[in-house]
Amino acid sequence: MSIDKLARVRDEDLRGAASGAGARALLNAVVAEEPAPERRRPRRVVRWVAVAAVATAVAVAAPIVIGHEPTSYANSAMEIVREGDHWVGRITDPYANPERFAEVFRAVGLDVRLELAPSSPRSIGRVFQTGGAHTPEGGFTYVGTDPENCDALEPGCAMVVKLPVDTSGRFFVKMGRPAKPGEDYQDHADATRKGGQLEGLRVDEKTVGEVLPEIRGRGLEVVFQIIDPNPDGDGFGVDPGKQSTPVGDHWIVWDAEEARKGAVRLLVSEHRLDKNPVYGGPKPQDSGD
Amino acid sequence: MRTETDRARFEAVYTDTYDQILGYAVRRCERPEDAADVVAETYAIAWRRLDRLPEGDEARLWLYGVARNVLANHRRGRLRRERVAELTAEIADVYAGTSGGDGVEFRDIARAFRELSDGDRELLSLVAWEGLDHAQLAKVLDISRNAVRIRLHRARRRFAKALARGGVTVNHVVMESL
Repeated sequence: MSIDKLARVRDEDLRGAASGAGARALLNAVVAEEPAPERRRPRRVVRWVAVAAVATAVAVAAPIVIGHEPTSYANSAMEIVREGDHWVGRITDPYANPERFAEVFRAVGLDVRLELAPSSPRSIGRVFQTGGAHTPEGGFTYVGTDPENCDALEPGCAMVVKLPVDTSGRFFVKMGRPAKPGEDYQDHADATRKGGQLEGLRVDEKTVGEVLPEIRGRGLEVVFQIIDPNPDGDGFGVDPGKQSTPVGDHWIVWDAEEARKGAVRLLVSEHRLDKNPVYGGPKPQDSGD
Repeated sequence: MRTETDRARFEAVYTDTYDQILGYAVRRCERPEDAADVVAETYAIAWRRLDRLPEGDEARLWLYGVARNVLANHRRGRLRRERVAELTAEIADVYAGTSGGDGVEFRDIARAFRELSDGDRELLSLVAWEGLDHAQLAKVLDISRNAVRIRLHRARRRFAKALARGGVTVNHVVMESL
């Protein structure tokens, strides 16, 4: 479970940065300040914070000029309406190009990138990824569907997103939409849950040979994902280069995910381990959400 | 009053640690302006607290601790300094030179990582990105080594679970071509 690759930059890439013009300018600006005598420091800090708070308040207040921004906008993909303290967007075309959603958000002054990804039925309308700076306290809120609890696959049912009006900065949201025929799901849902394609079947810690007949008996296709468990049994990695290794009947299944309609993905490794590496222990049999 | 000696000492620490503190900030801030603010405020505090600034590698660890607090205040919107324009421009170049990761596996790991609490994420980041060991973490976080060990173990477990929930997975294209 390597996270080094998530780093935007490595220290080695910045070597020598201290000699840059900007870095020197900062150094000069910092040492030009004469720090207050030691015993006065606490008060100085308090005052500075107060000044900063005022400055922040002014800066934040400035862009919110009610009456100058539109309070609604719509295109064929989505309509957005201001309702009190929130923007409420109703998605009318879940398959639309993300640029169409961006256009709607932009029209009301928001920099939101909404991406709808094909997902298993249980993740439709659920947010599975968000990111971005300067989201207000509470951040992005998903409120479900309009009308409430309708089936997003049915006409007249819209997925809804809701954001506080003071949302600022760039924001990214990825949520599930119904998959088109043959489209792979992106949500990695547990296939053995209630409503899943393998509902009621226990696959974890069994061998491939044990589970395949039952899965195929349900008319499902199987794809394998070969995992490399961490030595301590807690977590795993996946090597894309190894995925074409033939999987034998004696291999161990650790979990089953929805791959697409009519197909499930088995997470497998050649050798049995003391712990299920996917869960760092036994798979919870009541995994809920 | 700061003397020439103070200034020389600060400048030496600044030059030695700048790329690491810059890296720390860039890795945690979405925007170059924010990273510039964090770097600037961290060193401004170091200059004000020169009497507390340790020697040698300890200085770097102490600065990480300061940067961590600065970052937390920044996220709460409590930081606003006059910006050094040249610095912001220079840091913007660093951002421009980076390419966001891609691929399904990258996104899934990134998502699982984001799901963690700030505390867990920071702990794992300090290990993976800043390369700190238990003793160094104890200094930065100002907690005992034993506490570091326990927190790290728990953070890793939670990360493994988050990964499992999201399913760290391989490139679909590769898989579907089996």
